[in-house]
Amino acid sequence: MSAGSLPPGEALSERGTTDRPLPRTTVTSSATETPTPSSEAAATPAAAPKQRLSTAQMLHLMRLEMDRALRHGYPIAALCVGLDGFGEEHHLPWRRAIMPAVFQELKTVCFQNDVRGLGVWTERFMLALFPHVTPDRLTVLAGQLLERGQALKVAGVPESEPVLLSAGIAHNLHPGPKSFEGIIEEAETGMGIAQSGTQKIVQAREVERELDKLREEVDSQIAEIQEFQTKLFGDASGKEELWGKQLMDKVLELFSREPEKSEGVLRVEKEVIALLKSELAAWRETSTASRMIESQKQISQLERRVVKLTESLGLTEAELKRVAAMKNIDLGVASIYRTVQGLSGDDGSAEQKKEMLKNIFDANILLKSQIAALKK
Amino acid sequence: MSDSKSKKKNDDTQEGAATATAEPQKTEGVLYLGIDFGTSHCSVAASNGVREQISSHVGYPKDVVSKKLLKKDVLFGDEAMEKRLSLNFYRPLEVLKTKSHDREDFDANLKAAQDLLKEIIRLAKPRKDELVYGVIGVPAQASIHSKDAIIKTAKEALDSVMLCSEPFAVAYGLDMLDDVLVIDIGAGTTDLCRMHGTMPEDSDQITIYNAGDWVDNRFAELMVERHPEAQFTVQMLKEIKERHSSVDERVEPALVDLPVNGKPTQFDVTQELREACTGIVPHIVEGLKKLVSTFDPEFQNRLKNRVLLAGGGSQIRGLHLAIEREMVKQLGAGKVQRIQEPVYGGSNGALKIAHDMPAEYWEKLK
Repeated sequence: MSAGSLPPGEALSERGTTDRPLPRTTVTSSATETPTPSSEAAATPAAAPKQRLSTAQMLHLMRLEMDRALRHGYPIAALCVGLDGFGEEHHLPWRRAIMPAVFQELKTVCFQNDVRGLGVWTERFMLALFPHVTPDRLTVLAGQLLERGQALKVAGVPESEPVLLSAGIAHNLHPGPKSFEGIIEEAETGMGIAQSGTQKIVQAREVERELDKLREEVDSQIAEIQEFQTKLFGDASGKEELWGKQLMDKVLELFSREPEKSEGVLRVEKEVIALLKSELAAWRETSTASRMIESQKQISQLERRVVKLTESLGLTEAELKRVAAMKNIDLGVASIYRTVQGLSGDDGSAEQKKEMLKNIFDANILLKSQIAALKK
Repeated sequence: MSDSKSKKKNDDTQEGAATATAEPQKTEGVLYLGIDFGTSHCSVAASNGVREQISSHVGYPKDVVSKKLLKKDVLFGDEAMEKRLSLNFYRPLEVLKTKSHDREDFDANLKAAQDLLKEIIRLAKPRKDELVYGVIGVPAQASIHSKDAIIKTAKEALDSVMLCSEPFAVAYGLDMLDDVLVIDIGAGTTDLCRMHGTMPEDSDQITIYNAGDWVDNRFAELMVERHPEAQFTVQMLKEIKERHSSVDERVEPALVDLPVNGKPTQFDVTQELREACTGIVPHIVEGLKKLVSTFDPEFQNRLKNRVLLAGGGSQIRGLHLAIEREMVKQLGAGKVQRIQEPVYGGSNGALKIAHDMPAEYWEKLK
């Protein structure tokens, strides 16, 4: 999102009034500001009474600061801060109450850190530009802001609803193309990533890394889906399977259509793929059940085949025996016993015999040990 | 075994196979083997109904020519005896009974004994899918080396194996465990064993060497003495003994043809044979006397009247009566009972022991 896309009615000054002049120094103590001759906005003395500038005017000033920084080669960093949660329609009054308070906190933090900058806020996010501030320093500043935000008590907002903030930071200290729109966009992207991830402050360079990570994730998900497709629909013949295959083909085709994917597109891709995966998992479950039924049928068929084969083996064995008998091949004679018998309890002298059998056994054990000893 | 018996046995085997065909589910089981590993004959009785016996002779072709002629690597039993001139011939159990391992041919005899045991087990027709447990009756005098060799060999074919003394197996098979005297007349030795309800100890057993081979040698001596012109070998006399042996006074004359200067000539050997056979009686009774006299006096009478005559030597006609008479003469009383199956008495008993042996014992001896 660019600053120019802000709806005029949402481009608020520090007091949050639409189309009313913003103070020249929105996030800093006006007393500490150094007048900059090339900037109209910056030329206003810090001690002068607060003027209200419109969003367009403020953005113009910010653009001028950016141009000057690029021209003179000094560092400039942009900060984009957004609220976590409060996304529902009925949260709008709370946002309208929270954002100016957060903006006030930003001003306090800037004052404490002796930092000056320009900023605007809407009920959705807050944007600020800090000339002569390195991204690392701004990170520290943003951290303090986030901490203060958590302790913030705002009238009209229930205390049970904590104010959690996410911040994106962009800067001009990188070799890539630089512009006012670019720095704002990077800061916004950083904020978006911070809002969706665990890291609450994201710098521009990290943004790139995050984007790469996101791309990798999406690519791996796509690969996973493709593998899934091959496994599941490799030999698709049924109506349902064909539907699944076509759906996945369509989604993958859509994803491959745009080679240069923006962060937003990547996020959408990720969500779509996650959705597709969950849908496929659900389909797979029902499919597994049907496959199990199919497998059961196959098992029972196989069992019938086994029975037939066993019968066939029996016949083959009988035939072999017949041939063996013809050829005088002796297969042996089966014993009348299936298991080890042992002494019958009915035997009249069972106890006596038992003792004798034990003696025979003991004698054999002794013989075994004697043989073993002899071998040693 | 006669041809008719063999035929009948084969028929039985085929019936067994037919039964197995009718019940294809019977593919596993436990086969018990009772083996009598005797000096002269080996016999096996199995729980699949097979009973076989073979003379304890093993022969290996002497050279390539005889091997080609015989078409076998090893010959057993009567076949080995018949072709012994082309073979390195062994009577392995005779050597195994000796405790001396100094003999040059001891190892060869040991191998022959192992091959013989394998053959005996093969004759029992064990199925490959059955557990085979065997009890082997071995000579009490067999050395530990011999027993080790027997166990090792048996384990190649059996899942578990136990050894026991031959006379004990005979008594166990007949359920005569209390106050019984067992006379097991083999080829090399006659084992006398006193059973008194527990496992016989060394003091309960006497081994005398007046047995089948002694009779053969005595018979040969008498023949040389009385018919010096007759040409014969001990093996020939052994065959005559197996056909005509008797200690009875009233028997048909034993008329045999023996060569005299190459010409078959008939001889009446009844008297010589009777004398030779009767010769073992005093020795046996002497042994019995020792066992009886060292027994509890209260039970001596009962012991004298419960004498079992087993082994191949028990087939001498009238021998049990001759022993009885000698016992009456020396001990004042005696009742000798010849077992019904002299050849299979030991293996039947061993089979019964195998049957009664608890499963855990088999498991421990695997």
